[in-house]
Amino acid sequence: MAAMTRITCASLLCVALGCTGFIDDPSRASATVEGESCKSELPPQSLALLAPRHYANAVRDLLGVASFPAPRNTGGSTVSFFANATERLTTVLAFELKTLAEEAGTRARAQAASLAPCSGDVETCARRFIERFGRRAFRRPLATSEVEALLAVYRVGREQDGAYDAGIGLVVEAMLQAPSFLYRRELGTSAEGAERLDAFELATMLSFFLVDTIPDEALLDAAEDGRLDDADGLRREVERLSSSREGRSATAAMVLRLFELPRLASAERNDTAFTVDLRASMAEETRRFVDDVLFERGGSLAELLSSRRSFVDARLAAHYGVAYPSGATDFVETLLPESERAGLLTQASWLTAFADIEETSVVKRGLFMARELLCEIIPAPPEGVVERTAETLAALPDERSRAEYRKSDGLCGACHRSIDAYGVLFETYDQLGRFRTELHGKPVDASWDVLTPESIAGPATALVPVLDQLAQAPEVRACIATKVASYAFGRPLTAREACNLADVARSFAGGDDLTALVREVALWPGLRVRKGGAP
Amino acid sequence: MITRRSFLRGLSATAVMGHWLTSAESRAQTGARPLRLMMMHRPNGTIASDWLPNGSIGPILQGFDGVGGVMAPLRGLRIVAEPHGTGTHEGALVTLMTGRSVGETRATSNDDWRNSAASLDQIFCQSSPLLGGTPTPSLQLAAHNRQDGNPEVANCTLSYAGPDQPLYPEVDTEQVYARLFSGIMPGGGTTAEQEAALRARARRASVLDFVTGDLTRLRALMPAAERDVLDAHTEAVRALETSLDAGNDPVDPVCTSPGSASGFRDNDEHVDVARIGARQLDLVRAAFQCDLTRTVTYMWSTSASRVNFTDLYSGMGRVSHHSLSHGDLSSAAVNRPLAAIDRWYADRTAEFLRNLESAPDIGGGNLLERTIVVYFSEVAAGNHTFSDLPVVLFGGSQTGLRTGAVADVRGRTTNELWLTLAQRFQVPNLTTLGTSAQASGPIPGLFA
Repeated sequence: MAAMTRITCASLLCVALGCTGFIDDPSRASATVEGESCKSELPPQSLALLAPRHYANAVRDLLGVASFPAPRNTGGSTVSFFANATERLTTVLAFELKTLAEEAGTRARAQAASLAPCSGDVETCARRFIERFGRRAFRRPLATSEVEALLAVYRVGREQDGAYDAGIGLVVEAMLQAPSFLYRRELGTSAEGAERLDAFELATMLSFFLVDTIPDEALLDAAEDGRLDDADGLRREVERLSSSREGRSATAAMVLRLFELPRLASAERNDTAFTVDLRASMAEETRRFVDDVLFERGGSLAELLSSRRSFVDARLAAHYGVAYPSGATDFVETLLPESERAGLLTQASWLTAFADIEETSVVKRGLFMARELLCEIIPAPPEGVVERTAETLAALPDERSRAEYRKSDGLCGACHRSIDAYGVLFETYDQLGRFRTELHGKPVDASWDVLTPESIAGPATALVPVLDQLAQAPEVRACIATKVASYAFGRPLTAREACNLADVARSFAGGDDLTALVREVALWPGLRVRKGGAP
Repeated sequence: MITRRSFLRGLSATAVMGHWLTSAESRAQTGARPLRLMMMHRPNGTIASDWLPNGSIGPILQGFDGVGGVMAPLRGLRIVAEPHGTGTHEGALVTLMTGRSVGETRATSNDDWRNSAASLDQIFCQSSPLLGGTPTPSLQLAAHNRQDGNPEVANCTLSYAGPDQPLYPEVDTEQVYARLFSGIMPGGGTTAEQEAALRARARRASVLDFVTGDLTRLRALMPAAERDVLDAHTEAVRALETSLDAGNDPVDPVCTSPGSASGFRDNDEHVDVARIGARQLDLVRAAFQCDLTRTVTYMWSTSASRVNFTDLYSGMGRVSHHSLSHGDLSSAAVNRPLAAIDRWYADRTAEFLRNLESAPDIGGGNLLERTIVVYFSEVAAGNHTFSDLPVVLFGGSQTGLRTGAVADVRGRTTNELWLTLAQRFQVPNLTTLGTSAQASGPIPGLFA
């Protein structure tokens, strides 16, 4: 009944606004909370360019080097939670990938003795290298014709530069420019009216999701032996990857990306207190906090969103106004003031990342809460409204007044009533995340009516108790479950695709462990299924 | 005797290579003289009272004194009134470059509007007989593209190949250099250099054979609807090879390599923008002299630029451009540094125009004689107004541009400017753009 009411309200506004529109469209792009039904749709088959970091990690692992550069000309947002910012190759990117492949070829040539050791017939050695390196680079065994084609490349390299290692280098250069390396392929094969990813496609998807790079030899062996088609075999591989050092670090990186913390690295704040050192301390606090929550506190989402415990160095201790033990030099665990701080969203890193150059931003902070933590579908502002309101808004003295103006304006208010509620609650933190009770000589009023989610709706006077409640809210859990699954796909899932995730979402709603959620998504049978496509 | 060119052609087994050699030969035979189009953007608008006060040349435009003879400032040009997207730096830039309403915003930002059509520079270079046929159909460059926090596509892009297909400008000057000039050997190179080039070419051909085979294999596996991703891949690789091949084809004695420079490093300070910009624009000058491309889009910085300017005049201090542009424009503390910044961009741009003027063109004259530069910003001023954009056209004697006076185009739109340029560049079938309210036709009187 509650859900019905919400849909009716929303649709009245939406018809007037031309936003989401239809009664059966959901208001959330997440798996539904228990009891509600939704319309489902299978994800389509896809071919997507590797994310820049996946490209860099893949070449790093193929060559066995410490690091390798990521392509830069991929455009789009570098802070996006999702991997695939680029959809198409451009000439500029093609040139950059060519240059990077040549660099990789040069490095491979220099270390041919370890990458492609050879003591007998060089042609036999080259074939062996091509088969092994190729399986890893293309994430599948090579066809005989591909091996032959790469041997032809090897021969040209050897003949032109007169040496075995030159041939090996050219093979690497060719493979790294081939679409079979550059694209993440999820096509599947037809089974019962849908497409089912083959074991190698699944291995690739799991590996990018769990360890942020291409499958290792053991995972490819498991795929080749059919062990990923067996529930126990699959579980063993997921456990192995997710509990590895690389798996832990990839999961921590996922959580940081979920909160869009990469924004901090390029944030510009017109405040002399915002030094390079302070920015680094902010980032380090949250990195340590996330590691601690994930791997020392049972991966608890509740802790992540409401813990008072954190890690500070002398610089941050002063920033937060908490004591720092004399004699200490590094980060120390500390308790932040009970009534001022609750979890990651009240840490200086996130609050600074979500602010404007000169002041806070009710919209940035509120929009993150509505879209990313509650998975609400928020349309772009209606036509003409930005132009109509820009000057008035700019002339208002502070962010709360702007929120009040938007609330009083029918068109703005329809969406901003829910966005701005959270944004205003954050007004007790300035653009560097310092707690404040006064602004322009007046007390900060951060009270507002929280409209969503329904499970906590009501008047609120401060952020911290609201965060304590959100940490337990089923809507947040359903949204996070959907986000983690989207991360595995490398793109946002639509509401209808998310609808398939009901079991995963229900399970996480009853639990609290983010690392368990990651494993559950990895084992979710829906990960392998795609909409049937005409050949 | 086998000429070097036909020897090279014999080597290029892959289909991607033949195209440019043929077109270069045909251009050489017809002797068509180049005409060029360059869209140059600088950010955050201007200070009207220092730009065209009462329709006369203000102190900012005086930065172009040295090249005043080729200048036509436009008074009163406006970006077409679009309900969606304008009102923001990002939306205005997309609307200006595509002449169409923006699409939806990207998921990562409410201001990051997607484009709904190809940008006009791309349409021009594909269909203008005066712009087409060069080995690199168009260049997209920038001197600065760093953004605050959550980078947006619409802020840092002028060119789009199609709906939601941004062509990001390259900031790394040495990548641009390598892509355009690494194959050029002044005087044809020594025998050893030529032999090394041929070996490199054989290696490249074998890599391309494998890549092409892989594309074909993968394409056969794809559902028909998904093949366009691979078609775009094929086209990008083909275009790249055409571009790289050009270096092996000596065009004209005025064509020389600008030489490699030391490593690339970018930053947010105006001195860095000056350094990178000067190098980019020198690469443009050299690319024009080699007739490698005739269509360029160039950004001094992103729209809503965050570049910091320090002490352009005594006592100015250090200011962040976009942040400052949202201040009280009637206050001298705000409008004086903003005017100084726009003058700074004008001075740098004027230096480039003078360099074009002193560089010999293929077949005689100088580069500027056959180059049209549209110098513009995405907003009129920092407070997001769009009705009197600070736009100047530059064009030398062979462009037909009427220069030397301010052109009063009050009420006319950026879409109509595109239609005017379309006429000049003989772009076929481009006589309307957007709705009739957005463009009634070309602006008369701008070109002779």
